[in-house]
Amino acid sequence: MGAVARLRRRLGERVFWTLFTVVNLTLFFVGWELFARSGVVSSLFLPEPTRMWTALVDEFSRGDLWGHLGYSARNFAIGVLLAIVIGVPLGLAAGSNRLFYRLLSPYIWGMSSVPRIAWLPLLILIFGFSEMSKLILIFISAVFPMIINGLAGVKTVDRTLLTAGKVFGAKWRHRYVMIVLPHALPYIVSGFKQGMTRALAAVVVSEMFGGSQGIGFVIVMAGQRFNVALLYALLVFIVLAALVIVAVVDRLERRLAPWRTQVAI
Amino acid sequence: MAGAWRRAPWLFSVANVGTFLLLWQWLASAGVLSDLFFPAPTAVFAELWEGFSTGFLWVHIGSSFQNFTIGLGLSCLIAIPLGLVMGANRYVDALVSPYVWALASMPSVALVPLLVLMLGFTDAAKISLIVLSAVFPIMINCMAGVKTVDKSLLTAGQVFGAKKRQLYSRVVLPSAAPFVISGVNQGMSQALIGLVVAEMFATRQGLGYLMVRAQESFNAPLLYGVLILLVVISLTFVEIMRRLEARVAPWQTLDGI
Amino acid sequence: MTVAYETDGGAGRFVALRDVDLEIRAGEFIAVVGPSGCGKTTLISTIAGIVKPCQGEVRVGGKPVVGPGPDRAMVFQNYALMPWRTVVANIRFGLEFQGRKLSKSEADARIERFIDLVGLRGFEKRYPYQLSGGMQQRVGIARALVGEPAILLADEPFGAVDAMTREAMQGELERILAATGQTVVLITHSIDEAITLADRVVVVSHRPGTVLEVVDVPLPRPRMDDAVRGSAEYARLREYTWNLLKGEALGAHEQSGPAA
Repeated sequence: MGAVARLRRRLGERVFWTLFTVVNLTLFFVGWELFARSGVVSSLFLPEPTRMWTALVDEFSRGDLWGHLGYSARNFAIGVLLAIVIGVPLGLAAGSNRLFYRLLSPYIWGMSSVPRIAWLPLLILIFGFSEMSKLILIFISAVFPMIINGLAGVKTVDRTLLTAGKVFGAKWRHRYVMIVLPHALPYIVSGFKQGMTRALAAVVVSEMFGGSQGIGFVIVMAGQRFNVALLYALLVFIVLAALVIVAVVDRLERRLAPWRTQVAI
Repeated sequence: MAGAWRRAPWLFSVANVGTFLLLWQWLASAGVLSDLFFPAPTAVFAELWEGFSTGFLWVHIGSSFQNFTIGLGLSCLIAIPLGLVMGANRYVDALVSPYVWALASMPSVALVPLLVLMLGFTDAAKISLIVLSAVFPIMINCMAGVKTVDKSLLTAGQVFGAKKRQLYSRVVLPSAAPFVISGVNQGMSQALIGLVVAEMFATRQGLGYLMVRAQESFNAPLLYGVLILLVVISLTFVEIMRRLEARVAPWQTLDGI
Repeated sequence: MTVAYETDGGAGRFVALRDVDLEIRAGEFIAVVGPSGCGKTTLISTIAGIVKPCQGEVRVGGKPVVGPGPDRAMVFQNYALMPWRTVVANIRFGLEFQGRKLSKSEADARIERFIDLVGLRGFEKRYPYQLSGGMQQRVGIARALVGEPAILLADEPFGAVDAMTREAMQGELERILAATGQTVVLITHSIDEAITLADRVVVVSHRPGTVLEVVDVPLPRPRMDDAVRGSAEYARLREYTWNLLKGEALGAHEQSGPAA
């Protein structure tokens, strides 16, 4: 550890840990490649990263992967937007009005405690294998984090700030806009993050379960055709998509709420 | 009236949900709601009753429960120690966390085709999916628990002569305990999703399978019945964890919202 | 004036303040001291207009108080700054809800003036979490003064800062108020703070709070000066007020003593 510690001091914390991660990931993929080539594990279960890469490139150039991705992205966007437009105001209202909260809360807590994917059979029963069932599943998956975070944002506002607002003559409407909403904003953004991660899962599942389009469908097909390299490549692709979503929302959060010194998990 | 609500808040909720169910019943029996899609609550409960009395529901519940418990137990065994070490050691953290975060942000349901390919339609495939769903939230929370230990508590421990091992067991672990619990909580709801998805795709048993069968045979009352069972099961687990949390970390003020 | 609250069950009333009769002259600095739980905060909240008396009234400049208004501003013990606003924006909050709107340039000039007055030049763009407790309270003071209220209300404004900063802030406050000629009502539990800052010290009794005595403080200013604080007169006032409070505290102790 001595040499490593010395290197860490020489390079400084930031550079050192970036370098550490780069080396870490490189070794990981090189190790994977070598291990897979050695043939200890059947290549049916563990394809080499290089083969995954060619499979993905192949699918992009030959197959209709762009079309499938576009379809998934569109469903994702519609479902998430609907969830934001409906979930955030609902959460804020429930946080602000006691009666409304009491009226709504059994259904919010009850419905949000159903494992989200379990809605799918019901949706298929009602709407068939249509786009509607997909969109509703995505919407249901994304909307509860938006509602619950909006609610929490309003409920956790510091009472003394509201008192200060009152003392300085702010009317109810002003206190809401200038104190409650700014306080709730980081909560709402973290609701976005949770909601979008869940929506991504819903997109994939809804396409896996009936349907003939989207990345979920491609994954199922790859599995059925024993195209393991493509299957792995698609999984890596989804991981990257998820990481991009999280990174974008994190950046949004830093942008919108620069006073927040720490980011909650 | 308002006073009564305030003294017994549950009364309001009971009245609220009761009204909702009555309204539904009325709309269903009046034929406003199609009973193919929205069966009357009484039909749903009758279906559940029959399922329990003939015993076929118990088989599926038993299968689900067994896989769920094994999967969640394994997840805890793997994730809690690893997460606690990750939080305490910067090098282990940097080594493992890219993979943990990557896999944690992946919708685990996308792994179903791969698991089926490798393990077939077996319990092993189901349990694997449950573990892959639950293990990362637990790990990440444990890590956060160790990382957010109040520095002044560590200093206090050192001042009073605690050795490194004692610091870990007397200061770090207790203050990480609520995080561990909330990690297990999150892991649990992920595990339930993993379970249902695995059963929907990959078996002939369990509540997820039952829902797919109900959907294919247009048995809406059974479908709603299973959904209700899932709500009850999930809320039961949440309540158990709440009790456990009150036990393990009674100094924590609960109910943030 | 009497202030009472309905207690939770609605079974009885908890009288926080009883028969408080107090006249504050323009430009005067009043400090209110009393044992904890004596209703000091209730008193100031009533003046601010966020608590309504059930008997009697508060008048400012002859007009009865019916709610919060721009003629009264307040400094809070835990600062109550908006975490999402910078120093400048927090100070501006004190101007945003006044009936008479200032023009943008007027408001900016006013804010600039108070930033200088409380010594926050160079920190305008910081967020509260980037400031020490003492600095945060300067923002709180500037926010209260910027609307040029007739009365400044301060509820234990230095209760949350350390002793050194507290001393320094008391000196600052004295200097700032000398510059503005502000009327002030200060709630404090510190006799030293009261005597150092106030023209008159109101001693409030234990539950229900009533005015026990109003002590005049005829010391020369500025008082954050060793000659003044070391004087025999200062010591006498301190001793006198302390004895009043001690009697009160003992009484309270005897009241609740047997039960405890």
